Amino acid sequence: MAEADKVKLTIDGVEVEAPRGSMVLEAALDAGIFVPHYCFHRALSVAGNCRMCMVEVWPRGRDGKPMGPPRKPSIACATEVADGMVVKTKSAMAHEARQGVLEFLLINHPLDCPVCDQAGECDLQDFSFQFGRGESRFREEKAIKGAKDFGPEVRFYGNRCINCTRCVRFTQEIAGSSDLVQVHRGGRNVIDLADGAVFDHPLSGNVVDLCPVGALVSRDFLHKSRVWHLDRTDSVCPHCSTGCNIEVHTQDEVVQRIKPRHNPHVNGYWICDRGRLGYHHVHADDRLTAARRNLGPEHEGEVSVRLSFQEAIAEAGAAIERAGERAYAIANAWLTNEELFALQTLWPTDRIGLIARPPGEEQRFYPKWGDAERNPSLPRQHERGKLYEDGATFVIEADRNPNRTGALRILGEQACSEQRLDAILSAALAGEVETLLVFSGMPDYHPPEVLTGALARVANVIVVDLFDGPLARAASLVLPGAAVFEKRGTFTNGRGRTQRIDMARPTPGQARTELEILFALGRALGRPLPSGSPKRLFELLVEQNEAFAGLRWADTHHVAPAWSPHMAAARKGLPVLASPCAGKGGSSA
Amino acid sequence: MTEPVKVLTEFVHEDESWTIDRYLRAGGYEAARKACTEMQPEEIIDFVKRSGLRGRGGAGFPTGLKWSFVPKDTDRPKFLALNGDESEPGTFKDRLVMERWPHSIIEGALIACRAVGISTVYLYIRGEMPLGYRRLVGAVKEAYDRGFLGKNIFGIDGFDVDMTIHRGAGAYICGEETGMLSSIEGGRGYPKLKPPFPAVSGLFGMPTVVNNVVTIAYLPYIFGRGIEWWRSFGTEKSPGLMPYSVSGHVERRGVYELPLGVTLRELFELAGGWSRPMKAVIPGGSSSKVLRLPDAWDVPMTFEGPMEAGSMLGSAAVVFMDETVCMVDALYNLLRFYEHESCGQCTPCREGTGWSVKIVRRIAQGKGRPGDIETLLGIADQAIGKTICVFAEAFGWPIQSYVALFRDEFEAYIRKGAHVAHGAQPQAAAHAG
Repeated sequence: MAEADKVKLTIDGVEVEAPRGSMVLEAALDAGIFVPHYCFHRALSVAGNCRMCMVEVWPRGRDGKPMGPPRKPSIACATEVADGMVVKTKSAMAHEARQGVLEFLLINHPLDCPVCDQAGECDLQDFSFQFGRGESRFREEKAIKGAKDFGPEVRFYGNRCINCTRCVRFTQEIAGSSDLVQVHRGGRNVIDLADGAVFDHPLSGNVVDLCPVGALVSRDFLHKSRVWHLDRTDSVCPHCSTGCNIEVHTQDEVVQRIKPRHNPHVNGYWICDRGRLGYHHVHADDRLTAARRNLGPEHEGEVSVRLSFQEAIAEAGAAIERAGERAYAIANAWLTNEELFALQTLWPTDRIGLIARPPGEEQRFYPKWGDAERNPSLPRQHERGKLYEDGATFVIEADRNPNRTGALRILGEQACSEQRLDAILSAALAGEVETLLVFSGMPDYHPPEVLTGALARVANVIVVDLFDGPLARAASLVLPGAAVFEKRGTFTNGRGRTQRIDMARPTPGQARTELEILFALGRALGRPLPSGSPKRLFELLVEQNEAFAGLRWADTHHVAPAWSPHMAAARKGLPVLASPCAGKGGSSA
Repeated sequence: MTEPVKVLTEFVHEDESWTIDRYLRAGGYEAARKACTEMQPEEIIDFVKRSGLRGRGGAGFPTGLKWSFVPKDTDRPKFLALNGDESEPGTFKDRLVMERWPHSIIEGALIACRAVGISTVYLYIRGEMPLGYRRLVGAVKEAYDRGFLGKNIFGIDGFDVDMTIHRGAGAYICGEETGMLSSIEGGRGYPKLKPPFPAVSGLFGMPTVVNNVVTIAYLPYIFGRGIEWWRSFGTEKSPGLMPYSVSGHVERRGVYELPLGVTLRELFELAGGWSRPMKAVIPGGSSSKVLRLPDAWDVPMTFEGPMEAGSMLGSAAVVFMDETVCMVDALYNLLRFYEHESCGQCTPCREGTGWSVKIVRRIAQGKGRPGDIETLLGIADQAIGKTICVFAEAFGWPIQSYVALFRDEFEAYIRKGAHVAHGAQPQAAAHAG
């Protein structure tokens, strides 16, 4: 950025450079100076209504020196940075203003933190502790506002609402709907559904993340866990080729919820509800947890024989060995780059095919209010919310697989083509395939009949899958695989960005990651892989495959900027309340 | 003794005063014709600046200066938004002009449009004024019929002005200029963050002049009779005339058109006085700070006078109170209004209005506690200057001034659990809950 586009100001005695036209709050946050705020959100327009971010601003006078103390504090979110400006975020004026706002916010707020899902990651709780008075002078009756379900994923508790309107602005400016509105007036103000609306928007769950208090909560997560019990693992959503950055939250190795992880290049602050709720398959009832040999119809009564992992690998290795050139493999677009690379190392690519979940409808979301050209009152924050050139704020891609691009790059176009799969299946139907190794393990994948039909004509079908579905039943040998949240590695999204996933929980029972299975197979076949480590395999992939040239393992993990206290603290493994401003003590209300 | 100077109010008592024929008989539309045909836009703005005309809506901002803030070389449409959402308790001057002398507003608007280069005017009238709405709609139709609105007005090629009358839906806050703009745009009547100011980014994000209807209605007279005539009234800093809304404990409540600078005593006497000793006066609408009588009798009603006395001219709505008024009940009455009218956008106002009315209601119900006064002052202090618009001041200043000037009454009320003003009827009993 050119010098002319920057201004220099002083915040809490620190000289800070900020882009011209940006707000004091952004400049402070970027400089690592935390100013508490509720209604402000970087991807939304500035509302300036919560008044929490009030600071003391000394504008520069005509003589070039800062003018004296102002008569009243200003909101940092709507005060534009200017050269020579002096900002005090911790002065008595700022502190008293904040205390006043917090007292106001709490007078009608219920003391229901013990039953509120937001407790532990609640800005009202945290800021009250950090900046609040510790006691309230309010002796009157609190206002009562109802609770109701806004939609399948979102529940609203009116009493907890602080009317910051983040949710309303999100629906208008990002989701492009007008499902949520503010109704009534003054102290009776409350968020509600627009007339006749049901909040079943594909992005609805984001308002739960946006809500700084416990007013909008997830119905899926309702009363399931306390947030301080959750372990957080960075990962990438597998449900479409957008590759939204997510956090997988687990308690005692059980996935409790999925939260978006900010990545300005991929998903902004958002994920769709399909991704948010798309973790239940991990704990499905029909999850495979043991290897087995299925017995043919000649074995009356007995259906299958349970095998140890080693026995299963030995049998699979022998079947592959025996088949020689009549051994084929079918990979899928949910395998990580490292797994695909391992497969490519072990197997000639002209005998590999690819299955994937069929495409769905592409969904693009645009701001409701049109473009900034036509309406200059739209703040530039709208521009920020946009990730796509056509002005879209969020896209759910038609390709409902996380790594088709990786498969194309590693296995090649031919291996990933329809023709190849058809050819393999035709060969199978013609009895020309002796052993077929099938990687499935995609949730909500319904194998076409032509596939299951072809398997019936193959002597040795080795299926690696998550679920005891039609493929596992058609197999002669079944190996339980790993869900996305149970492995490490990288996916390459539809726009060619290679991103890391990480293990949020161990594989259940005897299940192994596909990489472990391939590693073991390599040894059984006498062609051991150079490494079993995803990181090492990734480095080898980068060396050998031009499409990945220059990438480093460390770059595949986008670390979100830690301007949200929760994000920062969670990352450091610290309790959120361990802030330099804490220590005044006091209750949460 | 200052005498009333009837300009806007000269013919308002006549039947059919609102018709264009009556207006034309009084020389209507001649001043605008002259200004628009004989003066350049910059000359018009300069003329208004030199006249010293200041806004009659409450803030008293110099009108010519406000117009000059609008960017000149822009190809974006510009708007004139006329504020007729008169809702301040005690104020009824705009209503009189809109109901009974509406063409003065249209004529004034033509001058403003010519000066700033505007061709679209919105007049926002308070929803509870159906008569004024009908009269304005009628007046606009008449003006179109006679060619004072529409295309090529006064035969000036390209001088087109369209005017739309927009009814409010019953919200005090839509009288706040940016709240009014939000309402015209079709949104909730939420005041907007400033900057940007309306002159740069107002209605639909376009440069917009926002003027009170009475400010605009005076323009034809200033242009018709000259700056000297206008400046012969009032003071150097507060020249001209003002329709004062006088109410409360006076014999003849109503609109009195007088020069700025008239004293509160003169207004009181013009309105017929009152039979009991007087106790207090609100000089500029319910949100201005209350003044004690007899201390304030000689306060001149200029933009500066009430300010020096610790209050403000505001909308020049003067409410007199005699000794029977219980100040706790009076404050309760006002705070009920503000609690009802807060838009609820900003935390301090949304919560502070509700909290303060609960405390004062409790005091008025005889359940006051020690510390209530301090809490009330704390609420005002925590709200004033900390919200998007000045609504926090509107409910905070009454709290501060009623308590500061009549603290003994509040303390006694809390102590005894009943009002102490002589003969006052407690309101809380009637409006409990």
